[in-house]
Amino acid sequence: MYKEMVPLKEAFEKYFLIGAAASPDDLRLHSDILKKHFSSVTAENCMKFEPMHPAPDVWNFSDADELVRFGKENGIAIRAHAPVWHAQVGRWMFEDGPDGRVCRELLLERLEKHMKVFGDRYGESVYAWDVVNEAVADSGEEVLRNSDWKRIIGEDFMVCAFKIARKFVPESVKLFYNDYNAFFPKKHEKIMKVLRYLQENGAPIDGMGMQQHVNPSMSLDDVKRAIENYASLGLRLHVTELDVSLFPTRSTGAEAITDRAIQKQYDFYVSLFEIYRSYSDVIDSVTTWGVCDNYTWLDGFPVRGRKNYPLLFHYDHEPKAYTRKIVEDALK
Amino acid sequence: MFDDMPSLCEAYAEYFKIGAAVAPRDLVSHRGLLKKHFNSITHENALKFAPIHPEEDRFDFDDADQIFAFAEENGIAVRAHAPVWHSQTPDWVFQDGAYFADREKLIDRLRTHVEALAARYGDMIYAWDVVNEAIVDEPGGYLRPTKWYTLMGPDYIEIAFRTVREFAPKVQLFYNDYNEWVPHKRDNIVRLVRELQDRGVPIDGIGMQQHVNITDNLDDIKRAIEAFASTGLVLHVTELDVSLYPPMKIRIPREFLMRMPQPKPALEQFKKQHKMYVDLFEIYRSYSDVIKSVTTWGVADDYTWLDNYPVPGRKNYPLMFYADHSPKPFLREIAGAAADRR
Repeated sequence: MYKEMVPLKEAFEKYFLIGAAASPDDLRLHSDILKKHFSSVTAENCMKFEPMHPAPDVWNFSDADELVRFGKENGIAIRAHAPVWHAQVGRWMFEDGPDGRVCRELLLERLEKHMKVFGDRYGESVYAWDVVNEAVADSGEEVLRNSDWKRIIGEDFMVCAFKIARKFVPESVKLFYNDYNAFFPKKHEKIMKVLRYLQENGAPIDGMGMQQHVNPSMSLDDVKRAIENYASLGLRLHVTELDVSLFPTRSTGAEAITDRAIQKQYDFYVSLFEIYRSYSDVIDSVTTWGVCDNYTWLDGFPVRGRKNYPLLFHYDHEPKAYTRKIVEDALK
Repeated sequence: MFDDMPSLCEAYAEYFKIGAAVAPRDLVSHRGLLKKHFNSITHENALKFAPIHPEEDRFDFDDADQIFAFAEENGIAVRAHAPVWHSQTPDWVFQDGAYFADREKLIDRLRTHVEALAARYGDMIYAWDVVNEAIVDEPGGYLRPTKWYTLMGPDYIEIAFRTVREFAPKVQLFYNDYNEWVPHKRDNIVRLVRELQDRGVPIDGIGMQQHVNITDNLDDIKRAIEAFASTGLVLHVTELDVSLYPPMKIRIPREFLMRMPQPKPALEQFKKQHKMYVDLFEIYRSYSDVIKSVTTWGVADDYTWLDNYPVPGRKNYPLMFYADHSPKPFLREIAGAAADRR
């Protein structure tokens, strides 16, 4: 009496890949959903700098290896994420050179060493790589966020990072800049500046990753405008970390969720996918940040103790109501 | 839009009432669900002794009033819950200055309490859990040594039922308990009910809380229903939920639990819950000659008393509606099964 839903990846076959960020826990708990519905999986943590390379001569490959194996066995493409970031990079990268400090050359050398090992091991197994993550400042006039990368290497650290990355992975791996709130007008302008700068300075960048951690109080028009502007640079677009929170950013949250909040989330999700489909000539991949509502990084963040339900599948692995609608619309 | 299921309580109209325990905030947040699927409502807390009668000379009716008003407005019946309980009863009830209150004082206070509630709500209540959880969990024991028992005397249960009957003569009166299908506890409940019946105490029904988990034994539940039905009383399922987690086998200190990341439930647990709910409702339907009301302890998974209890930091999903208020797949089956037989 309850109709089986057409798998997401089938419904969107002619539009773009459908992805999910997955942890080792997800591969264990939610592999049924991943296998059935997803054509792309992003490494939630295991391909970030520190988890993979916590000390100069220490490498953890097991989680990433498992993810790559899972992808191969199930015909699922793998997105890599994200070495050059202001978070989750070991302090050792930025400290402790010959004179006690790290200079531009030494940091670039270390980055090169890291990317070579990564590229040699996974270059053939991934289709996209978020090379630089979240380098743009949220507020103020400064374009770039203060980070150790920028401080030590200089303003061109991203150009360097993209050039190094390109050396060690085959052409089939598309290189991305990735950021959140990438459609907020002020931040969007800054990111546009950065992307143009990268292109003008010979950075081999292929695409723009829009994270899309959103909530229903945000502007869909801003999302559309951002997609058009990024595409106008000749870049490919990936939606890399989609989730639609039930709560406005600043809400303190309540124990119970209202019918109204649920309706807004439903409408927002359906509209977002309508937009993505209408730009499928430039969007190649849409990834949610997590697999199902059993676990999401928004549980307890930014409001402690508040459970969120921002993904495409219920905690019991069933598709949510808007997911059915999204699939229905895609099949029309 | 995301709740295209037919009304659950309409599907069950020929079997029993479908109820939910609610707090006032649910009347706003879960309004649509409550109006569509439920024809019985229980105050989760608002009618308990402490919330409604916090001081000897002060009643706080606001929360309870809201729920009664909502029920009346929408033609929903109300189960009242639960004046005589060892928990959520204020200290003043059992105190008399520096001393414990004596039997007479306690009887007097209980009468005042019941009289006030009955005067205000008596006409709007169809069933009342008069005494809650009076029996011990351990095998070999019988009545729980509560302050009611110790200060008022072993006949406090009898007195409670007679008092409520006196002030609310038209309401069906219930004894209510948990783990009621566990054989030794089941037998003690039957013993208590029969003792009350032998003394001519006005009791009309047994409330089976049915806080179960995915590993509980359905045969035990059936046997309990039959044992309770053998008393000739009406049965209500009063606090149903199906926890995803079996109880812990060993006692782990809370401070330790709080520092442990809690594992997320696996698909298998949800499948077991699905089957458990379908099977339970099949059992309830097959005993619908004696079961007249089935109430879940909460409305939807976004809030349940089993969140963080008994394990801190652990979210549970024990109800029939998802956190986003849409029906879970087993609920469609449950509604469908009722419609099929009609």
